[in-house]
Amino acid sequence: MQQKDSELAVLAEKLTERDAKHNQYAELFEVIKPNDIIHGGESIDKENVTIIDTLKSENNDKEHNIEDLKERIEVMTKNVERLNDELISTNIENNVLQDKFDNLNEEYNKLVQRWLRKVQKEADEMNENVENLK
Amino acid sequence: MDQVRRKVWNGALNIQIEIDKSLIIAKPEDKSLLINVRIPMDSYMSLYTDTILNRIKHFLRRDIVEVITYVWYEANDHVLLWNLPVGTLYDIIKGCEKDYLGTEDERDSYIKVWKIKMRYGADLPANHIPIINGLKQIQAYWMHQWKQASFLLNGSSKRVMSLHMNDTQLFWDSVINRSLELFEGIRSKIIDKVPRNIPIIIHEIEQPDRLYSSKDSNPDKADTVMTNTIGNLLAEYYDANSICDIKVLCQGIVVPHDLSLSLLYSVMSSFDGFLHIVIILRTD
Repeated sequence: MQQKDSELAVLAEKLTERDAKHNQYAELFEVIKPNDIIHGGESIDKENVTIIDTLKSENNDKEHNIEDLKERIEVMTKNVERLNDELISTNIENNVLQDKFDNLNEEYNKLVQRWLRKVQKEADEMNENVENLK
Repeated sequence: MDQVRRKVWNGALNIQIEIDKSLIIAKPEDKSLLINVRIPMDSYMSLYTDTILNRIKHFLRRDIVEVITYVWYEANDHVLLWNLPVGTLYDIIKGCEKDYLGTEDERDSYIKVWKIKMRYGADLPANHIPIINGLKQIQAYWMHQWKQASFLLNGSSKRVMSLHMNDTQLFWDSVINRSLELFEGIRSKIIDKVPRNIPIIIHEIEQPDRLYSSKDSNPDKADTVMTNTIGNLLAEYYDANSICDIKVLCQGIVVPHDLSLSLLYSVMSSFDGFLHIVIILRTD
């Protein structure tokens, strides 16, 4: 029992010391209660409160507007990105087709050359035969 | 005993709260908006958010109801969890600091102020429980804590569950209105003189940047509950050689290791039914 009392006395002393520290100039700090809205804004008169409320609601609207615009910009940016992607893919497709076209053109030219050479050869042979008949 | 309980209950902190700039209309020269308040150590920080926002309502960009869910507190860049008592948070954050206890000389010329920040944003910190239902949610959480505490104390939560509706409301009102007599009257209905176990939450601070690591105390030692001391409790978790270097904080004071846990619980337990102990592992 005696030990308990002495232990309690030690705790009480330490708590008193703690409070002495934390209570120093405590009057500079407002003691507040949960859900205490009575004392809020005592120094501001009614007219100012109305002005503040109006400005606040305007500010609110503007902020909502800004958010809307930000969302729009985001959508636009995405659209631009998509368009860019499309452009790049079309470019690539175009390049591939161009290559294909060039290859086919070359092949075609080669065939024409071969055909011409063949026809020339045949004409030459025919001429030669005519010459021989004479 | 009553004297100690009263001191624990009445203990309060001078707190300076810096309001997040995105929450308020810009002040000239981009100055911070500060509010000085005194908040009881044995209460939750979030109980006062509504009141604090009301004090600055003319500076707020939006209505209180729009912002209150997205508000949290920070100190030294650490989130202050609202579900821990204010005093415990103070011990956790400031316990490691060398001037935690202060010196004799500075008492008259020094104001002890805890500077914290009220933060605002849609991205809430990961370890913060969002408060979507105001004081009702806090009350429900607090009652749940008491049910857990009662389970450890008595082996069941019956005593809390079977409290009369009126008593339950009065119990909560006593916290809101800071009425110790009312609180103690209902608390005594829940706590036995000889409890089975003692509900303790140990907050271990190893490094200043690793806060909020808590241990559960071993509940299987019912027979030793009355004789157990803080030293015995520490021996369960720490090396015998290092125990003497461990600083144990509770309700803003350093408690001796030879103190009995049941006595400590009876006088120093928090308003949520638990005894919050902050363990500082001295690294110096």
